[in-house]
Amino acid sequence: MIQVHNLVKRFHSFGREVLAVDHVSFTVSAGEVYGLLGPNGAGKTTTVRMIVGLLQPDAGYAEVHGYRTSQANDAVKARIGLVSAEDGVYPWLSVREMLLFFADLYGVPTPVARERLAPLSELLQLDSFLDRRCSTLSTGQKQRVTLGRALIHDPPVMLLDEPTRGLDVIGSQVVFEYIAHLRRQGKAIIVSTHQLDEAQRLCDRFGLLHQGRLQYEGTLDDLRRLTGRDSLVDMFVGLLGRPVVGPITVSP
Amino acid sequence: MPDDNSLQHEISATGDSAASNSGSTPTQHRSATGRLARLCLKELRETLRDRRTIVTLVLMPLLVYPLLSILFNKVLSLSGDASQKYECRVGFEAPSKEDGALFEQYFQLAEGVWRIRRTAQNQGANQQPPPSGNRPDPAPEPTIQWWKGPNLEKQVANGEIDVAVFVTRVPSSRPGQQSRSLRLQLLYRESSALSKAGLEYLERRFSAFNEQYLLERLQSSGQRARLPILQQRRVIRDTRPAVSLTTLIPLILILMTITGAVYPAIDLTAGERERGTLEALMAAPVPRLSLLTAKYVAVVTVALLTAVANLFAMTVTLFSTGLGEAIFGVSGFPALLVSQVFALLILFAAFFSAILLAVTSFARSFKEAQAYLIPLMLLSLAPGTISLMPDLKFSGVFSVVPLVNIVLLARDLMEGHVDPALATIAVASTLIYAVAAIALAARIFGTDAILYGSQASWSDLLSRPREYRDTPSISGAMLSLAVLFPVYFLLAASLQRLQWLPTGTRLALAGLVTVVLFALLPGAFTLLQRIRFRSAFRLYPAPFAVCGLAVFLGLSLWPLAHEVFLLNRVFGITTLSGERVQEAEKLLGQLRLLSPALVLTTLALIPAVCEELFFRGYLLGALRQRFSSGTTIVLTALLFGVFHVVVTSALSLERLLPSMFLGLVLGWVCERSGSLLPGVLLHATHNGLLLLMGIYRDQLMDRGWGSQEREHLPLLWIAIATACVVVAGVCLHWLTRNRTPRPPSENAPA
Repeated sequence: MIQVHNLVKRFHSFGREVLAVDHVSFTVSAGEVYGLLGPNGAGKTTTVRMIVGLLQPDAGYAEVHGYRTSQANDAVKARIGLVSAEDGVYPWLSVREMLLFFADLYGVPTPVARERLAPLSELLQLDSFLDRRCSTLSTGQKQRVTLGRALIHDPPVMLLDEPTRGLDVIGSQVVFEYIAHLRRQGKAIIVSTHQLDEAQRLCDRFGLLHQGRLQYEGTLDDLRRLTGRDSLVDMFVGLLGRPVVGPITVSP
Repeated sequence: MPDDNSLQHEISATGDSAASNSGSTPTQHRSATGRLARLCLKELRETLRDRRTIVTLVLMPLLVYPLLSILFNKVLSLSGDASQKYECRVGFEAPSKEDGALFEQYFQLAEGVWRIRRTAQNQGANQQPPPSGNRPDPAPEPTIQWWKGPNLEKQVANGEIDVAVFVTRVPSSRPGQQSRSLRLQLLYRESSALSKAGLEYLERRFSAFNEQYLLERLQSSGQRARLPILQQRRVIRDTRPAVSLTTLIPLILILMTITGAVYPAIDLTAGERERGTLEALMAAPVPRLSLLTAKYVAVVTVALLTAVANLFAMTVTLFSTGLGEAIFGVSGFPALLVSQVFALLILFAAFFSAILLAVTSFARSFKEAQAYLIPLMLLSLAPGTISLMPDLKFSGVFSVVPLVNIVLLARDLMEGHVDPALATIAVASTLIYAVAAIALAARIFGTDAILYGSQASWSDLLSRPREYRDTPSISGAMLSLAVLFPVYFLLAASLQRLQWLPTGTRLALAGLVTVVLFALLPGAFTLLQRIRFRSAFRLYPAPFAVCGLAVFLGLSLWPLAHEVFLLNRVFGITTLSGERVQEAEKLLGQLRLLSPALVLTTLALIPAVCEELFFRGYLLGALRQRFSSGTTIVLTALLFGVFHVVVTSALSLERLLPSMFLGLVLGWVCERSGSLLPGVLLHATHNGLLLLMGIYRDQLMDRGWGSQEREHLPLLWIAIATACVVVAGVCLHWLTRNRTPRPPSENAPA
């Protein structure tokens, strides 16, 4: 469903070149939750943005549902639901108006979008504020609107970039339930996060990014065997203390 | 992996494919136009609900105009400050010296009576009302300077003097006796405060004199008496060019329209980034140009709503305070002027909103956008002041200078003399700049440099695309057009100035200009935008039969083109002066002396090749990505027509219709054949034939083949030509029936 092949991205900052993503490759199948883990600045967000086509890779490519991002960007975008921690809402639109607007952007006819709104608002508990202006919502409510927005066109692929950042326990719980729901729906999901305990509970497979390189990749059991450590947190601590080398992967 | 066709389908109904993947109901196809309308609606809804928009839209005009009217009133009354002495020039005209002397005598007496009454009034001012029953006038009086000269009426009209008095003696009721009554006609300008002050000065004195006379006669005898002075007012229109306040009004409106547009322009571009909605918007499969167009419509609408609110508030203020009369004369703020100013405001809003969006699209935050807008505001104030220079003529070059053209057009409109050709150029170029600004905005809006801040450098924004493409992007084509149009206009105008050069050299230069503009410049754009030459200019072979039919069409089109040319008369477009016809005749005479090969190469072959490269190659290909075949053909034909209006000599609107007609045919041939070659052949044949007919007109006339240029052709000719065109068209349609149009292959599957 998602194929990332040797993605490379360099940024130029004050005359210095920074290698943000360094030949990263992985695949995610339908119904699988892939955790893209790493400390801040590891290249998680950049990788996600390159998959959607919001950033152009310097080398390599990403493929979604058979379409290459660099060549059929609209086809790729149509198949992705993107949730980002920095997502905002339109303050002067009501929640319903905003969701229908995004449905329209993705070419979903309004009657179909209205039908989808009912189960979606039930899942994310939007009912109580569906007709309120977004400017009056709390942070948690806004985040739920964002999760709904990413799902209104019913995409087969979901990219969640730090979906729980800035949320309280209840807010985070909504996100976990949301991801579980997406998995049941058979969607291919990438969750980028640095909250490792959550990731451990949620994800089927993991990619550990450090300084732009994919250091370890595989299921939790694979990683335990590879690193000799039990929890993701321990693996991470070990990773941060270790010099950067090529990816150590276990083929699934 | 999907093939080409299924990809096209999937992209056009992206939601459907996503929906079908997860088993939802299939959905019907929805047009891009419908979605654009809904996008516009959303942007408008969002903007109009914003309190800050309402403030600029409603509160500003409600506050500004009453305040401005107070200020203006202050200015007007300041000019009559008691501390300032002001002089009023009054002329008088009498049929005879005797009448003149009597008038002077009466005026002296009237002045005396008035002074005595004033003194009495001032002494008893606090207790008693003045004898005439009038309220004491607080306004200071002007000093009168008498003026003699011919044609007083004209002098009042153009402001050389302020009031004119026409003296005639009232005929006596008793035969043989001369009456001592004078009839005075007082001529003044309603629009001039000074003129009105002079009028009232005289009227007060003559009325006082009459009252005093009546009083004395009643006291002495009780007889009925005829008044010594019969007064009559007469107004005259001001013929001086309206400066100051009349030109200030459109400026104020323009500034207020800007005020209305600025906030939504920032909010809908930089605001998206600041709110965090930009990334989600960019992640949706919608062309950036569509998003920008929706934002543009919203900004223009708010700008226009602000303009309407301002125009309304200004009209009401001018009407209710009486300032309208002071500025525009008795007619106040006339309805025609209001509608003309509004039409101009629409054009201005269309232009300025596009510029604003282009500038604010660069910004990543509200603050940054505001910083960019300040220099733009200052820059746009400069042309505003130009309208205050009365001697500046709205001429050729100014008609393509952005903003200056609108301001000068506004001024000419207010003064009531607009050159329709120049107005057309100004409007056309302004709209082209607006489209180009939107295209630029679409190129910048939401790019990763804007979306993710400092991660990409500014130079990346205008850098060349990484991969080669088949057709120019629509935004790239619009930018090229915006560069080409003024350059073309200036080069064409410069060529006109080189009349002293030999005709052959001028022809060669004209050919060179055509090559540079329509072949080299688009070629350079193609290189810069990394587009494949072959596909960008449709350099594909065409079947021999199609080429033959194109030549046949080229030979048979001219009678129809001629009749289309004559349609101009029906629409009342006649800018061809006798002088210009003579010029054309002269040029034709010069062409006859040159080698036909040179003439045909420079005026038929080179334009045919180069214009086809640009219009049917570059432009058509770019527009075809966004529009249907029919719309694309019409749009390119329209642009082709507009370019021909400004070609070589002065602006000849007559060329618009025949050029558009030719453009439609050429566009259709190119779309059907998928190749540039048949169009080039058609174009060259058509041009060549017309040229040869012009050069050999006399010979043709001698053989009875000619026809007068400005006459209809014989019906038989038109019938034959129509039949030929129809047959050629049907054959061409049939021959190209199996040619599937090349789809834009930007989104090739992996």
